[in-house]
Amino acid sequence: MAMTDPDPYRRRWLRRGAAAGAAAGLGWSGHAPGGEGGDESGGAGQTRSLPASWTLPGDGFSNYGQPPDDGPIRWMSVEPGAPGTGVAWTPLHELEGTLVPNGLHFERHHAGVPALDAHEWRLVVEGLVERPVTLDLAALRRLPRRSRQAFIECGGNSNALWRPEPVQAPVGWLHGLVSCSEWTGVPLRHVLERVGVKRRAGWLIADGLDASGMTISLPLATLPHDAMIALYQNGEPLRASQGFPARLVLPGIEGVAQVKWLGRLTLGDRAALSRFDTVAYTDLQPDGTSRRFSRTMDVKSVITHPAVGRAVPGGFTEVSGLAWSGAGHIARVEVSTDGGRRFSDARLDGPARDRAFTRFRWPWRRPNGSGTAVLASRATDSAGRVQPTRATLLAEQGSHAYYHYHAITAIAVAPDGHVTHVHPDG
Amino acid sequence: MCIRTVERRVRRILCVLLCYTSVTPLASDQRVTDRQSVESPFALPPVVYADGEGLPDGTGDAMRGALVYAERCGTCHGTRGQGGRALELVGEHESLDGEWPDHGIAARWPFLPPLFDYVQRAMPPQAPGSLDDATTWDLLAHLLVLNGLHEPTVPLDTQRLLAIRMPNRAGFVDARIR
Repeated sequence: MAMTDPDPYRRRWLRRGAAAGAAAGLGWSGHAPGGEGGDESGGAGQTRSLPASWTLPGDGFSNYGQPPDDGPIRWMSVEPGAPGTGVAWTPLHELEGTLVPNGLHFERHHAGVPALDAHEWRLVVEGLVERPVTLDLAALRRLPRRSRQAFIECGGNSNALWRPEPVQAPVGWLHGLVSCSEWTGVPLRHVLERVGVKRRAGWLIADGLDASGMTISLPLATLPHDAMIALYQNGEPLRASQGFPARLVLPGIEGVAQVKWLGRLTLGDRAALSRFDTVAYTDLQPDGTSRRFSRTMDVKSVITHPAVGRAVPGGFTEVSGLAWSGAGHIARVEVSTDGGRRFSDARLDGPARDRAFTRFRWPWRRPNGSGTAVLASRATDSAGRVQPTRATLLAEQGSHAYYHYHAITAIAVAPDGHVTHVHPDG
Repeated sequence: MCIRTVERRVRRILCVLLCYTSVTPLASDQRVTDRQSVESPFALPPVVYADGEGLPDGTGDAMRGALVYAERCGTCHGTRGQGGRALELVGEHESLDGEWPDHGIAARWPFLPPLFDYVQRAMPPQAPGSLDDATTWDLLAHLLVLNGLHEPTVPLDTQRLLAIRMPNRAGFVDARIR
């Protein structure tokens, strides 16, 4: 291959980068060797030793890579006496990009993580179908697959924000029952097509094989076209905690309906109206009625940096966060520094994928001597839905809905850089 | 349900079915066929519907149910369904629009067959699936007595269970389907 000399371009690019870095206040403090004091002999350099990592061979390989000891971890909250029942939050405030590592994906289990035997596992598809079928894992694995990125959000995510007092916790421990992965599996439509759904069927009823009594009813009319029986997460086989060997992935739909440890799909002419269709995962309205089958997740965004618990240095700070919607892709994210009175557009980093995380970034220069700033983000999706203010959400839903909190969230940054979670409009 | 709503739903369902049938046909060796159907080492009980389909037949005795409750449930749910560390089974406020919404069975559960199914499959959390049909029937009779929905001396059978109209049945409204 003929090589052209890249040097002029490289030099120009470096110069431009250095200039841009300096302009943004990011300039590295230069340490030219021997520059200080004009000691051309490099005498200062002789007193410094080589980095230790240059003097020893490094560690060996491992069969499965591990994160650093001080790397991000999840916080957990479990029910007393039932260690498998509860939640583990994704530390959104310690992560970057849009894909959550498998070991940090949020978990919400109603009766712990069952250890299923891959050889004994079966998926039954029955009810109003022409040809009921019982598939084993080998049969399911032989079917054609699709991959797509999708967020999964628990219906109860952010539910501490229904409370009148803002909770002083980093964003992950408030909003971290949402994660985004690349899921790979068998399109549900392939399976339904081949068993032959009868015309009378209007509902898909999914049973999980954990001990929580998990039965969920889904109207066929609201099933995402790309619903899948997932076998892989971010390239590796599902972990037990994510439903091994197979779970439903229904992009954009409430997490509880994306049944883990999937054991049976029943086509019905009506909903089962199980506990998870009625008593739980329904939205208690101000008039005392409960809204059920509100399974499509709302448009939402949260600022992940800065975060409660970490002081913001003066000068330049990159405000960044995540936005997602169950109804399409993120069209716009705006950031405010005055609690939501005025907004300006943030940059969407990378492609805004349909029903997946979108990262937004917004450069913020905080002048010295400025007062408290109240940072807030507001997302708009491709369906035209705009993230509501807290006041609007409470006016519509009351304060006991418990699920589906998706209002604009705000953090105050004090002049000394201290960050607190605030409710900007009361 | 008005006729327009019915029409709309039918159209949606047809639309979905069309979606399912309009995908690229798979090669014959990629299809789910009857030949791929295998025996299962398990037998899942049928789906229990709110109208009672799938509910195992039985007769519950509230007195026997009270003994089961004391032994298996009371530690977490309180002696009479209140005051335990687990969710209350008997509501104290009987209202859902106040500051402290009721979480009792009478106020929150619109139908009883799914309650039977849930209790039998998920309770008690340390030993799920350990309540057989007869025990679950007894327990349900006791829970309904605690909630003032059943007479303690009357056996609870399928017919009587299905005849109980839960007070909050009309309180569940379908979300607008987008």
